[in-house]
Amino acid sequence: MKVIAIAKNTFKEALRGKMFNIMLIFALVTIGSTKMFSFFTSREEMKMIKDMGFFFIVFFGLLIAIFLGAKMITEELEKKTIYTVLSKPVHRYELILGKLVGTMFALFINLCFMSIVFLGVLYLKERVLNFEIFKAVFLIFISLSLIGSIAIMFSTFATTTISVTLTMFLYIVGNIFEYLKHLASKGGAVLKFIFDGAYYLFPNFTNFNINRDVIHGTAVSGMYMLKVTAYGLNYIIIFALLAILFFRKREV
Amino acid sequence: MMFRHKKIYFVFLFIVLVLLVVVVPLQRSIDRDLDKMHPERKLVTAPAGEFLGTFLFGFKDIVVDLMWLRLDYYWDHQQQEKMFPLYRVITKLDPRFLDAWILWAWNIGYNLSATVKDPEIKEKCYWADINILKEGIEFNQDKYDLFFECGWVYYHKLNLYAEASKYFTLAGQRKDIPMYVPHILAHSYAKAHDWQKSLEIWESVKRKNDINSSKSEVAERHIRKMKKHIKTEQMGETVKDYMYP
Repeated sequence: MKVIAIAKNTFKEALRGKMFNIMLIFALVTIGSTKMFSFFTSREEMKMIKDMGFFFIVFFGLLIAIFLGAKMITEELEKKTIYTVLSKPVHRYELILGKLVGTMFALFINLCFMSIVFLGVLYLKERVLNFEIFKAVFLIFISLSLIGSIAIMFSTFATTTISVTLTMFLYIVGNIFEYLKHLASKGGAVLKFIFDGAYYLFPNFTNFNINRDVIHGTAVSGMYMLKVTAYGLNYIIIFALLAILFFRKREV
Repeated sequence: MMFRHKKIYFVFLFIVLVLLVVVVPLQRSIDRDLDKMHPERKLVTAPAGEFLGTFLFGFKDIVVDLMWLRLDYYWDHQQQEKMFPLYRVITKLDPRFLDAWILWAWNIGYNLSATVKDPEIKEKCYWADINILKEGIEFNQDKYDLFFECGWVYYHKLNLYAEASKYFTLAGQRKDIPMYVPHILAHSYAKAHDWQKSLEIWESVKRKNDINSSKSEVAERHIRKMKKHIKTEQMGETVKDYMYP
């Protein structure tokens, strides 16, 4: 119950922020983009609209996840509101879990809003309800929740700026490790061992990106969705546990 | 109290380690799935497009679109020479982007070839067109488009009707094909003087359409024509000089 109460409060805080302004910008830009590419053939135009739609969903979602997660604990410490919460019979792990669930819920609502606008735009163009986009949006949600959990973990011991920087760094690393692993496989055994280890240690964000497959109509199996969801949830739990550990050690 | 804290600390760390161990088989299994979904993953070499794609952190689709807009600008400003390297990068970044393969090949096979007079160079352009389409086919086995385009170049530019029929047949085996695919396949067989196969295709086109539709009428007309050719051939008359209209 305490976790849900904290989650509710976190969600309300997110609403008080700039989240809905970002949603509005997204909706307007996406709707505007439907007219932007009308000089292309219909297939090219649809590809452009879908690309733009997914780009805005991921980009704004990423901003929300990083900034919401990164200021989660540090802001409460700066405003000293955390002392009021912790003086009550609330465990530290409950606070972290509440913050995580609240962030995930805020991301979920944000993604729901953006995907409904996106679906509407696609319907206006194709006259067909393309529910396939929800497969991609679901994996985007899992990846953004993972980024949120990383940001919350960093916010338990670092300032907002450092948390944002480190989260972005992990996101970038998580996108290029596949390539670095490939390069290392051509090097020596030690290099290969290090990069192989890092590849399995850090979350690989390329797993979650099926936007291109949805755009080009490549079949994405239910089993793949299940595996990637399990993979994402696994890392969310890891980062939540680490956040709890770090926050327990922090003197507040 | 201190002991309890330490215990919790180690339990948490143990769980984290267990979860990290679980990641390894999961990631390997995901890698196998991704290799099937994206064969281009194995082609990552610097400084090609795949390399660039890796460093766009999941935003490569939007970069492809921006490049595509740039291509449109070059096209409008008659700067064809700048278009070809861009096509290469776009198809490396997004090998499933059919229009990129089709337009790249078309620009070489139709636009560039039209600017040269030497028939040898012209033919080289047609073969370059076909090679681009064949490269694209490797990544788009499930779509009819590139098979059809490849068949069309064999048919229209190189007059190699047996090869054309092969690619039109492959195009016809894909899902959601438009009606003109079996039509052009039948024409291709007829051009190769294989009247029987052409007749079979037209008959199957007729079966798939309503009796009164215009498509059925077209099929009916061609069936009559093919039967006439077969009859002529069976009567032992020479058809070598006969030109298919």
